[in-house]
Amino acid sequence: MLLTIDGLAVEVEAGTTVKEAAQKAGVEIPGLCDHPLLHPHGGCRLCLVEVEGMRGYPSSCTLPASEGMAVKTNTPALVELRRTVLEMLLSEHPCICINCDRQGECDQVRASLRKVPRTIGCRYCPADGRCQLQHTVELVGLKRTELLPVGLDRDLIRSPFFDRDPNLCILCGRCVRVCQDRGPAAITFASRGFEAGIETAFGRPLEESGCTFCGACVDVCPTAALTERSGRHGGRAQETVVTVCPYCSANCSLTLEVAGGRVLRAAPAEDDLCVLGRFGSQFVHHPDRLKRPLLRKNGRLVETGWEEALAAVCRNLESRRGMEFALIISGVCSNEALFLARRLAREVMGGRAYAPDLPAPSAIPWSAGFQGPVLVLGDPGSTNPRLEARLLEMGTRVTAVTPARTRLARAARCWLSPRPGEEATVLEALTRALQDGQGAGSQTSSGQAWRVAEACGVMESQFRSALPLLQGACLVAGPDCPPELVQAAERLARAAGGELVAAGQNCNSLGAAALGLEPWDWSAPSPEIRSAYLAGCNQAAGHPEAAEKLSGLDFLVVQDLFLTETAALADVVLPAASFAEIQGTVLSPEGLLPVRRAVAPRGQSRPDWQIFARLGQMMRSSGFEFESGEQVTGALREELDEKWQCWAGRRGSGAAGGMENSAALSLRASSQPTRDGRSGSPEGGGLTLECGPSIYGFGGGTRASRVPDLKYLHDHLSLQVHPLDARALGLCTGDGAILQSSEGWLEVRVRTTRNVNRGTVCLPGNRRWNPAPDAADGADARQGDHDDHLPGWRAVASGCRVRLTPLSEDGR
Amino acid sequence: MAQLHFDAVEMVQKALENLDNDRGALIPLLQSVQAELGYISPQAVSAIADALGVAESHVYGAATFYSEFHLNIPGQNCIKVCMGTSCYLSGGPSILERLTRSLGIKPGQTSRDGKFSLERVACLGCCSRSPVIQVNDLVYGNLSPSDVDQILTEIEERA
Repeated sequence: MLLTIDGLAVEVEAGTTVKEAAQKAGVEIPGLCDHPLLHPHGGCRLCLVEVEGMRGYPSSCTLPASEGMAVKTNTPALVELRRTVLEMLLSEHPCICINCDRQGECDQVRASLRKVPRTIGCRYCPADGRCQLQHTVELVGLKRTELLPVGLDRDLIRSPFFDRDPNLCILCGRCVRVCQDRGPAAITFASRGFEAGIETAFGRPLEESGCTFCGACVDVCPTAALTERSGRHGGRAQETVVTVCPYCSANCSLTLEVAGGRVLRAAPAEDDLCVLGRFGSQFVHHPDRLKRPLLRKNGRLVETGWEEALAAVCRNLESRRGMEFALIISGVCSNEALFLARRLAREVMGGRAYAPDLPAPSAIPWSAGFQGPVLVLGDPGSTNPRLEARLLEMGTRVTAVTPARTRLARAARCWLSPRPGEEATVLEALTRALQDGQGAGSQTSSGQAWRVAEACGVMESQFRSALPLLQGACLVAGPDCPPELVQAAERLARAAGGELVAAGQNCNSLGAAALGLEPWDWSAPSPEIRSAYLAGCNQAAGHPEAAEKLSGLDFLVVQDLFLTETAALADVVLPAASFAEIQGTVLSPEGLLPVRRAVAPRGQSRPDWQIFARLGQMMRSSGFEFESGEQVTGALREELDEKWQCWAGRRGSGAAGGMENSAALSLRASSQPTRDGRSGSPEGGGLTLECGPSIYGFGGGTRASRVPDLKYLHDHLSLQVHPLDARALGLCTGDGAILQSSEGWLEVRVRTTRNVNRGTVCLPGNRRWNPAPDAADGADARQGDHDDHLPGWRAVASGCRVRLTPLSEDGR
Repeated sequence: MAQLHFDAVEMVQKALENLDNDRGALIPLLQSVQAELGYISPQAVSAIADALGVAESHVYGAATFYSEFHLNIPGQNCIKVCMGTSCYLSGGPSILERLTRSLGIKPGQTSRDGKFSLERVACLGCCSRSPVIQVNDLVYGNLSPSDVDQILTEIEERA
């Protein structure tokens, strides 16, 4: 349709608003509540226009364009109206700089005015220069405000990652709306009149209000009412680099803002980011980053130069060629690193290359979407938030099987809540019921099936209502699902005529699978390993058996960003460059995605691929002569493309990678601790523990724990207890308690919530359990043998029985 | 605390019996909770949010928007300070300020000992005696800020 804006003709599609049409015509209409990501709101009354033949001044952000419309955006009446509206807005907003007689001179006087604790005008404001209110004042041409300012004096609220300054808020409601759209709805308009403000329920801290810290509110805030602390005083970005998020297998694109050789902040590029993507890049500049190689001399790791370290690695590896050598590299590394690591392990060393982040992940159908019904296992919210968001959109087609009442379980059409650790049994029962249902009405055996499920805590009605939702269902399993559950899911997918989609753990888990790395597991009866090279994986954390095996090796090289528990056991530690410091690729279901270098590698750290290439050369092997990352990409592109074509053709089988899924699944994923305590004796206590992962402690927490606010959020996760159980124990929200299992004990803070079932307690995150008193002697003895870094703690599995004892008043 | 929560859940479930289980039930639910408890407790907010499938913030936002709803336990003595035009012009704000300072609470709050709660109201209908405050059923008129402390002691002695 054709319309005119200030006399300019513009052609737009039906459904376009007048404001969007004006933008297309190159006419800027001011407006503060409207945002491209949000539905039109019409709240700020700044985008008013005049339309020929229409009464009054409609708001252009809510007015649909229509054929032949003649719109005026800049008549004297409109300018007067906007000035009045803006002046009233500014009467509640610190704006002394607008009325300042010496405007423009202050920059010559003082360069760092914005470092004052309180914002009283634009020059003092962290958003100076990128504030949309400031821009609007210029656009409207307001030179002075005559209205008396309403003195607001509210306290700045410090939240993880960002500050909330209610004094700067103009109540445009963008944050409220975006929070609602994304799901948490943690904030709202509260009170009214002069007291009105954006608040959480009862003004509680965000971390207790269901906030997921995705940062969307910060991104849409037009002023500095919501300001990210990271890079707050780092000046403006000199450069932006679009790259791929280094955390989960969602492969979201992000924009790194760089100034002075530092990553100031990460902003969303195309995708909605989660807390990890938005705020999780700070580990890049953490002071604990390894800056020089470390070499064990006289039992202690000491800093050394690259040549000496690599020579030591070379010397030791050369004498240890063969199947007793294993290289373990995780999907946090780029394809280039994985490719050269595999070449080094197989061709030079004659050993094998493993990846710990398997069972084999399969491609998540981002672009094609999920067809038909979906059954979700685990909590994608804590391992792959983008996947969770995608599944939340299709709530009515979703069945959730999870002990905890996750966001997805709440939105799902049907939620089966077995006791922790018994999900696989429920899936088996569903499989049997489906198989029986297909046969001639064998009511009796499907009756038995639900009885099995009932024994796991699932109600018959739920079980029966889930069955018809499963025909042709796609089963979605996250990396938090143990192998036996994934196996059961695969059988159910086959029985339902659907497929299994297993989300990978890391950003490049798919690449690791595609490059044919073998799944690694400490408890598997794999060939006896005498020497190992670990890159990008902290295997020793939480697994005393793994730590024991690693410390028993003849020779161990660890290549990582930080001195992890595993690195502390190594003979040589090589400092690797982080995702922001390398040029490379990761494999996503949509093909190869570029990882781009934003800053120089920290200290003397080097990209993983470079280290492998150098080692290959030093060991006088061919196939390692690469000058740049691009050359390596070129060398591996063909192989990956082929593999990827192969998947695209095979989509439906659910299998990925060069190995048989069943082989991958028969091994126990090393990230899953043993489940010995599961059956547990009744005197172990009346509660069953659900130990889900937490997004705040992503993976092993190697990177996430180096982002202070992520660490804070992770360490303050409470034990979720059903209110009735809490009442029986005399506990309420905020109380301290001792959680005790047969394997260890832990001090926790309790939060009562109906998001867990009675008899179940839920503790997210990777917790450092203290060894149980009877096991303590052994653990202490082990700890005594080595330096302090040897992990004397272990992770406790879901499904074990626990006892909860309130801490006495004095905190004991 | 857990006890309170369960009472709130039961209360909300009972009130819901006569209502449609949708967002439109929010205000009637808040009203019945307030009628029962005298205020809107955090437990009730969480129970209502659960019952209607909305966020707690949504319930809280509605409850704070309407002056009809109180979010604090009412004190034994409820002090209403008139801020109608007449009282406002003849010194209502300074009366309120004095009360705020003496009691250590802001309007809408209850003192820690539970003896007083403070509220600002639009008009008590005694403009001729402005500025006025109402304590429980008694109206005190023609006040100056210095009268406030005397009234407070009087009430405390009476109790």
